[in-house]
Formats: sequence, C-alpha cells, structure tokens
Amino acid sequence: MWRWRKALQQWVLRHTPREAQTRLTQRRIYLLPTRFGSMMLLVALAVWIGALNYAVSLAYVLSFWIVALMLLSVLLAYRQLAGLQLQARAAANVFAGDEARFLLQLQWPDTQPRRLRVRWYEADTVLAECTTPGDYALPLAAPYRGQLAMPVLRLWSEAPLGLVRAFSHVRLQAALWVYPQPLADPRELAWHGGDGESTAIEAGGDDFAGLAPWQAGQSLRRIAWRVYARRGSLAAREFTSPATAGGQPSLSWDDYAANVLPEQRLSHLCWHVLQASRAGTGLLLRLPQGEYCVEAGNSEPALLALARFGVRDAGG
Amino acid sequence: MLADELRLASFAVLAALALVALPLFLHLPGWVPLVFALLLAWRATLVWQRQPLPRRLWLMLGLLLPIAALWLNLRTLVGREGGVAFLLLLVGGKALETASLRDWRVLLALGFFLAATPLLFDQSPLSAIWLLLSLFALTWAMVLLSGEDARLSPAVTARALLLSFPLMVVLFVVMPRLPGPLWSMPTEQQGATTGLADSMSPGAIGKMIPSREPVFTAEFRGSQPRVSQLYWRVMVFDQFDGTRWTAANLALPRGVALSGEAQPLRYDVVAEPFQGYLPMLEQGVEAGEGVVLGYQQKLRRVDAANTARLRYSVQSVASSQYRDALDEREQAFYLQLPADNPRTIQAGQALAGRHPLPAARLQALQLWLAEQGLRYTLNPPTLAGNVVDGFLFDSRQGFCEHFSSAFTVLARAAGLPARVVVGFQGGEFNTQGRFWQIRSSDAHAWSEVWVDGSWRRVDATALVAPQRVDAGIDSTLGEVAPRMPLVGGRPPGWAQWVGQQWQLANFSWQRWVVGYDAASQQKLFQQLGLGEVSAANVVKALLGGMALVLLPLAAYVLYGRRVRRSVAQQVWQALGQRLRGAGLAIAPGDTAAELQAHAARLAEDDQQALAALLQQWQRLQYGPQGGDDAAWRHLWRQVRAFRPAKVGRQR
Amino acid sequence: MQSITFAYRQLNALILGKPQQTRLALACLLAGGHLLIEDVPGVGKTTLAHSLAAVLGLDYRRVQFTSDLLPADVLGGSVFLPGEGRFEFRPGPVFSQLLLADEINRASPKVQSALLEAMEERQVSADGVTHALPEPFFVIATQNPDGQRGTFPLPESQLDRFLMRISLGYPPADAELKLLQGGDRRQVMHKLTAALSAADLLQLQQQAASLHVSPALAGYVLALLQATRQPELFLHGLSPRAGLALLAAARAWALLDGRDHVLPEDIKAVFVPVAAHRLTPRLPGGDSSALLLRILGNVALA
Repeated sequence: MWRWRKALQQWVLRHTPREAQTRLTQRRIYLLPTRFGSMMLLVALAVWIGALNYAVSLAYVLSFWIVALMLLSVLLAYRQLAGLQLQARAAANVFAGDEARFLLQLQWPDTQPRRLRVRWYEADTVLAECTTPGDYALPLAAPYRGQLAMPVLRLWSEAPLGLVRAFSHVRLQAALWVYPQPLADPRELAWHGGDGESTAIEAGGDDFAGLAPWQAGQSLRRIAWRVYARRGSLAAREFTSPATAGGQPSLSWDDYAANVLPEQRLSHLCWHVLQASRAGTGLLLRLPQGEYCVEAGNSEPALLALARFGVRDAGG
Repeated sequence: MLADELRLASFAVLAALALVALPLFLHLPGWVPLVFALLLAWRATLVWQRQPLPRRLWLMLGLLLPIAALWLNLRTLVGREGGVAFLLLLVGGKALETASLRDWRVLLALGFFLAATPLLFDQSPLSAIWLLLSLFALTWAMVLLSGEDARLSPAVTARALLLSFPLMVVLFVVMPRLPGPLWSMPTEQQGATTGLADSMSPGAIGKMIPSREPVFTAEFRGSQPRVSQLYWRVMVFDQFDGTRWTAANLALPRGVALSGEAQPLRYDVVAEPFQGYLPMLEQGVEAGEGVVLGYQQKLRRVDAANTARLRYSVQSVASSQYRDALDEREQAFYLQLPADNPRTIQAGQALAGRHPLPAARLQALQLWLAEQGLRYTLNPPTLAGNVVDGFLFDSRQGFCEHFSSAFTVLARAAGLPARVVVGFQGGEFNTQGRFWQIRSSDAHAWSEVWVDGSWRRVDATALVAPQRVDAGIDSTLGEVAPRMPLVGGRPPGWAQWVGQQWQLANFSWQRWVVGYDAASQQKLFQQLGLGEVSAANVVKALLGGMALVLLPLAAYVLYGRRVRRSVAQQVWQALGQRLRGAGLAIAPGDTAAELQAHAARLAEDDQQALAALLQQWQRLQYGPQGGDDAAWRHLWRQVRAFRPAKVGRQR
Repeated sequence: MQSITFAYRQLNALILGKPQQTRLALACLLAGGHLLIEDVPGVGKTTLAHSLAAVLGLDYRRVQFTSDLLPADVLGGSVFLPGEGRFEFRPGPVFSQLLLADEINRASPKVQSALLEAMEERQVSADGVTHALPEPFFVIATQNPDGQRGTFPLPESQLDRFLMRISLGYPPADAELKLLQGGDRRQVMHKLTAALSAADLLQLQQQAASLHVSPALAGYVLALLQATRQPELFLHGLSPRAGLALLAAARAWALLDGRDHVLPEDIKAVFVPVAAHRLTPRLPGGDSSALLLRILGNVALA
C-alpha cells in the first residue's frame, strides 16, 4: 500500500508538465469518492438490503436518494475545478531558512461560486481555501540556497457535500532565488585603494556619470573645460565604472581559507553584503564569476550572484 | 475546517439525528428514544460548553445498562423492534465519542441509516414527509460538515436535493425489485394487526368499529360489484371454548369448487396481512402472483412470514356459497361445542327435531333468530359466563360478533357443521379514483353453515339489521357516522369531496410508491415497451433514464450559470463563423476593415452584403448613438441570414 | 480639418515613403503626447521633427544632447546679475512649443530625468519658483538604438513619458532614389509653410479628446491590456495609464480619419507604437512589437 502510493506519487510528479499558465479541463480533473462518500454508499447498500428484506418502498427512496446525491456530487465537484485558470505571479526572493511565498493567481471565467483548496502535492497542509478569484500566497520552506522552483500543486474540492473529491495536479512555471543564509562574520573588510584615476579616465568615455565640483588634488584631466568656458566654475567629470569604485571596502571569495566550506563562505559573504547595504558603506564583492558592486539599499545584484553561485539556471 | 464551523456543523448533525429518530417514539418502547434523545442532548451540551468527551470505558459500561433493559423489555436485540431499538442506543453512544470531522461524518452516515428505521413501521404519506424532513436535515448537516458557509448552506442543501430528485426517481423505478426477502426475518406477533384480532370474544366490545382508519383498497377491473356483494373474507374461526372463538388453523390440502358459472370479478387489492391472511372477496377462484388460496378459502402471502403491505390480484365470483366435500371427521370437527350455553343448545336441538331436512333446518334457524327481538348496537352490555345464552335470551343486544357467534353455536347445536368467518363487509367507492376504500369500521363477522355439500354464508347480523349490509355501517349507526368537529351533523359536500381526494391521494400513494414491487415494476416495464425485467433491460432502462435525467442536469450544473454572451458577441462570432464557413482565413482579432479585406475573395454580392453588415456593426457597437435591443436583433437576424458562397481554395 | 490634411500632405512630400510614420507623428502631437523616434542616424529623424514643427507653425528649438550637457543647459537656470545684485531665471531651450531633443540617450541620466520630469509636469522649478512651459508643448526626442557606444539608455520607468515610440527605418527603394536625385532636403524644408497656428492645434487637440469611445471599444482596450499582462510575455503588463494613452492616441488617429468615434482599427493602428516601449519581453532578446502584433491578432473584438 505504502509502496503503491509512493509509485503513484512519482508518476504524478513525472507526468505533470511545467506550464506558464493553465486552464483545468476534463482531461486533467480526476474524480474519486471520498472516504465519507464510500461510507455513504455502504449506508445506501445497507438501507437497500433492508428495503428488500422488509419490502419497504420508502426505504428504497432513501437508498436511491443517497446514490443520487453521490451522482450529483460528481457533477458538482467537477464544476468546482472546471475552467479554473491558474498562473503564478512573480514571487520575491528569500534567504535560506526563511519561508518563500509563491503567488498563485486563480481566475475563472464565470460567476459561479466555487470552493476549493490548495496544497503542495508532497505535503499535507492546506495552503489556501479559495472561494473568490484572486491571488493566493502559498508558503514553502526554503531551506537551501539556489533556485527554488514552484513544486507541483494539488487543487481539490469536495464541495458541496463532501461525498466526491475532484482534484487536479498543476506544476506552474515559477521560480525564485534563495539567497544564502546570512552568517555573521567578524572579519575586517579590506578597503580597496583609492588611486584608480588613471584607469578611470582610460576606461571612462562610456560611463560618464555626471559633474561634481572640482576639488584641488583631482586630476586636471577631469575638469570639464567646456563647463568652465560657459560658467567660469571648475567642474570635475565623474565616471562610474567597477574599476573606479575607489574608497569602498571589498571582499573576495578568495579571502577565506580554503577549508571554509563554500556554503559557509557564501553565508558570510551574504552577511557582509547585507551589512554594507544597510550601513550604506557599499561593498565590492568579488566572486569567481564576476564582481558586484553593493550600494546603499541596493544589494540585489550581489545577493543574486551569491544565490546563483554554482547553480545552473533552470530557467524560470 | 475551523473549530467554530465544526461546532455549528456538529449541532446540525445532532439536531438531524434527533429529528430522524422522533417518529420512533410511536413504534418503540418510549424510553428507548428518550435515552437516545438524552444522549444527544448530553453531547450537544458538551459541544456547547467545549468540554471533553466522557471516558470511553465509562461510556461502554453506561451503555450496557439500557441495552440490558432493552433485552428485558423486548427479549430480543434483533428483528424489527429489537434491532431498531438496539441500533438507536448504539448510535446514541457513538454520538458521545465523536471528536474529529471524520467521527462526525461517521455519525451522520449512521443518521442516514437511522432515517430508514421508522419506515419499517409505517409507510404512510406522513412518514414520507418526515423522511423528506429528515433528509433535508441530514443533508444540511452534510453540507455544513463539508465547510460550506452557514448562510448559504440551506440553499445549497435544497438545490442538491432538488437536483438529485429526478435521479432518485429513475433509480426507484428502474432498479430491479426482487420478489422475496434475502433472508427471512423473525416474525413478530405484537401489534402487527389492524382491525382484526386473532380471536373473537363476543362478550368484549369491538374497539375497532368507531375507527374510520383506512385499512385496504381494492380496484376492480371491469364491472363494479354491489355493496351487498362485498364480503371480504380474511380469517375463519372454527373453535369455540364457550366464550372465545379461535382458529384451529387446520391445513388440509383441499381445492375449491364453485357452483355456478357466473362471470368472475377481477380486482387488485393493496393490503397488509391480518394474522398472515389477506382480504379477498367471497368466493375466491384464482389468486394472482405472490398470494395463494388455501384451505377454508383463506388467502395468504406466498412468503407467509412477511407482514409488509402487498399489492395482489384475485379473481372471485360473488357468491354466498361454495362447494366443499367434508368427510366425517371434518363434519364432526365443525360440530364441536362445549357444554356451556345450555339454553341455546336446547333451542338448536329442538329446531333440529322439528326439521329433519338440513336445508329446511337452516331456514328455520334463521327464522327463529329473526324472531328473538334482537337489537343491533355498538354498545351492548358486557357478558360473562354463558355469553351466547346471555345475548340470545337476556340482553338481546349486540353487534356482528354476537350475532355470528350465536348463530354458529345455534347451527352446531342443531347438527349443522358451522364456523365463523371474520373479515370486512362493504367499503366506500371513490368516484375519482374508481377504487374501493375499506376502513377499520367495515370489519365484520358472519357465519358459514355446511348444508348439502356446500358452505353457505349466513349473515346473522343482516337478519336483524339488513341495512348494515346493504348500505354499510355508517347508515346503520348514527353514532359512527363521520362528524365535523364542533359543527355536528353530516359533513357538507365539499368536505366529502376533500375526503375523497385525500383517499385518492392515499390510494395512489399506496399503489405507486408503497406498493411498487416486482409485479408493478414488471407491469410498468411492459407498458413502457421494455419487456421483461431482465438484467439487460434494466441496464437499458437505467442508461436511458439516466441519460434522460443526467444530460440536462449536467448541462444545467456545468453550463447553466455561465456568463451569457451579449448580443454583440453573438453577432460578431456568428459573422466570423459565416466567413470561415465560406473558406476565408479569419483571425480572431480581425477588425471590420480587415474582414472586409479578407472578403475580397468573396463574390461581389456577398462583399456588398458584408460591407453593409459591418457598417451596421460598427455603428451599433462603436458609434456615438450606440444601438438599442431592436437594432441589435435586426442585425442578428441579418447576420443569420447572411450565407456567403464558398470561395475556391486558391493557390 | 482641412488644415491638418494639408499639413499631412506637406509632411509626406518631404518625408518620402513613410506615410504611416508621419501620420503617427501627427496623431501623437494631436493627442498632446511626446514622441520618441528611435533609429540609426541618417534616416531622417531630425528632418521629421523639424518639418513637423514647420507645418504645425510651432516655435521650435533643437538641443543636441551630449554627455557633458547639464540639466540647466536644457531647462535654464538662475543667473546672477551683478548690475542689479539679484538672480534672474534664464529659460532654457525647453521653453519652446516644440523641443527636438536630438540623441537624447547621449546625455547623462541626470539630464534625461530633468527633461522627462519637465515633460511630464509641463513646468520647470528653479530656486523654488515654478515656470510653466508654453502651450502647446511637445518634445520630440530621437535616440539611437541601444548598444551603440557612449549611450545611456533611457530608464524604463521613464520611457512611458513618451506617448509613442516610432522608428522610421530605411526608406523604400523608389523613395530613396528620389531622395538621392532630389538634392538637399533641408532646402525643401525651408519652403514648408505653416498649415495651422498654435491656437488651431490646441483646438484640434480638444476636438480629438472629445471623440466618442463606446463601452464596447473600452472593453476591447481592456482585453488588449489584459492580454499584455500574461506573465510569459512581458515582465510587467501595460498599466492603466498606458490604457489611457492608448485611447488618447487612438482618438487622435480617428480624428485624422475624420470620424467622430473611435474604432478598433484606430486602436490597432496605434497599439504597437504606444505600447512597445512600455514593455520588456520576458525572454531576453524578445521583440515587444512582434509579441504585441500577436496579441492584436488573437484578441477578439467581441
């Protein structure tokens, strides 16, 4: 029994295609009597036998009415799911160990009232009771760093009598990134040297960032002479370029001893990124795959890089 | 499901159970349903106060007490009464160990089973109404248990029951009825009779006569009988102990031979057995399916132990006598008399001495009785000791039991084999339904005397009060005539009409619902042209009936409340279909101008027609004036009439 | 109405082989919106802007955007008057009825933001004083396609300040031949005469805004908007503001057609120019316009 269930589960997981959006039709809505429904069928049978033995016509009425309610329930339960349109909305990235919240958008084309429930196929907790169209947040634990794809959903309804269950399995195209779990790290950050001007101008042309008052000591080549001609004030041209992020602390993947496990390193890096973003000091993050600049309040690219570290994008 | 919702639902389950069990007060020893109600109330209080359930062990022990009491009371825990009472106590106990949703659902399922139990005792229309009520309450609880919004739940319940009703009817009509029970049930003697007792003591007052309760119905095919021909024979009492007549229940294999070649009456009766016997018009010739005609012209079910109501057909010849060859032993049996009632015996012997010929002797006996100055009344004084003597010579008042008993004793004393026949006499003809309604008050007793190789009916009551037989008991006795409460006197015409309508409804109910059995099903199948009730035909009828009911139901349930397309949508989609039908490749998002461009391949006329339609469409749909319903309908008609000629596939 | 037709004809005499684009440009201005012309250099972007100003009789200034341009160079700024001892606001080129912002993506994001903000609010604030921009006020911005060296692509969130984005593309062969034979187009431009005055234009704008939009048409627009919100197509669907922009553009288009109500045809005509630059395809390298055309083909009118 247990193995049989396991096999069935595997089969469902394998045979539920990933879809951007989907509409439930009779080909994917399954109907089965519930435990209560089977019990009621037994009651109907018992009443029927009683009716037969005592030749009681009204008991036949009762027995057949129970059966009729079962039959009607098949239709009604099917109707709860039929035509349902599902798609996933963009979900926010989370840190490992937190709870991810996938957003499920439910719509139906008609005005019929519906009552259905949603859970992850492999877990038993009811995530949402849906009675109106709209967005439903589906929590899912995100224990590991990397990409978290939306698992297979099970939607089911026993409404309105609880005799027959209609259910369907859906795997929606939705994924979010799980950042490493931040782990405090007492390490002092190395401040990147401030002398990068020569390279700045060489690299500069494209990445002009704006003008700032010229200060004594800055290279004369940075003076915007055209502005001086027009205004009579000295302005320095500013450039943004990774190479010119002078005056920022920097942190590298290689700053850690080789015996620190990758995940732990990433956790430490993540913690530093958050600290830098929060404190507004900025941070230059150097990872084997590239360098990322953390500005005040904008840690997203760096965090993403940490999340994607060594992960092949499964496509989202 | 939230805890509060479950609480509400559990109240609903308990209330439904209480409602379901209420009629059982009428049929079981009163304390059993009372204990059940108390158990439910206890459970409801616990739910109300959010208190934990009692310990299971205590519960089991506590339940043993009423079960023991039940055993002492009924001496059985099976069969109809015992089984139902036992079940009731168990369900009550189960109610006290329901905690989870699943438990409540089990209890609810038991409630559905319980709803069948009152039907074992009574199948009147009132029971049906109660069944409906019970079903509603149970289904409502079911809906609440499944988590439906409490405010919506009554409507959801009503809708579910209404929509499933036609399905139920199809199953009811089509599912095969087996002719007999799967196993035989223990027979029960108590309280199963209506109107007729298993013995007759002329000293006691007949309680059943004032009751106008309907007992059975009969429907004649062809000609209707006269009231005076309506002697419904049920039982024969052939043993007398001086005060009480009983049935010896001899079972001699004996056919019946009828004198005379009169046209037999064919009729159907719906009745419950009285002490195992069914009413039949005298003299029965042929019994239909399910019943058998036996010794002493008594009719009984084939499955004799079954006391359920039955519909059966019989053929009878309305005659007051039938031939029967009695041997010496039997003649002696029908002459047995105890030594009591010496005056009556003396009178009989005296008459026998004066009239040696049996036929003349019978005549003389009747004459003698008629001359005794007897009076017909429903309130005779009670008698003790020599009851027949007391009636004939002292009180001289009585009703059918006194008369038939006295005459039979008299005949036996005069040397003529005789016995008492008990049954019903008369009936009321329902003109709307063209059937006869026989009531409790039509119960009657008469004598049968064996003379010259025939049993002859002698209705001693008729000798004294002939109108009792000609017009029925109502006209004989003012006191039993139906009375309007408070007003008094005979009911007005409309009330009679209402009464007849009610009888008709009752008759149809008995015939089509309660009496719908294997035979009726067979008949119905034949009328529907389905032939025999065979597996193949049942499947055929089931499929046909289900399709007939399920398809519209499915359509209603699945598509009934779809958003209706507007006229504009219909027009536009229809137009697109027409053009596609003509062989044009139309994209869903095409505008009027684009359609017109596609239509360049159409014939000139069609292009112009299309242009006109599109122009109208644009004006109504997008123009500042818009379009009223009439304009849209006009356009809709035009679009439907627009049938562009097919274009040849180019390229 | 005739004046606008006349203007249209003159434009087409100058911009050869691009009737659809010139009409869109006209509709954009009639709807009171700003226009973004995106194309490789040398296909006539500036010519189109210039001639539009000429035929509409608008006071016209042109700013060549470069990387060292300052916001004040566009908006204007306070200048200290030593003689009077006070500051005075010197309006920048933005204070004109039609501003041609040439190669807007060469300017720094700061300048871009400053201009786009002025476009949106139709006013300039300097030293706590707000200066209203003239009426009518249009910006026609040109930009080179992304990926060219030395450019700052306009921020996505601000692209919707432009009602439409069109691209001219290379002229058709016959038109290009004519162009090659016809000498300098700038000479022709000087011959253009104003077909209508600024007051006429304002009146036409009002007329366009009052065109009838039936509920059915609004429903069609809604269906289109919803279609763009399918997550597998774009990162974010069109906003309600984009819907209003779509209706405004379609009204102007219908006015150019001489109708008093809007048809789905009008919506379809302006849909891609109005919507494409507001959307980012979900798949990298996806083409908004192609996706939008697919939507147009699939969303039914009713």
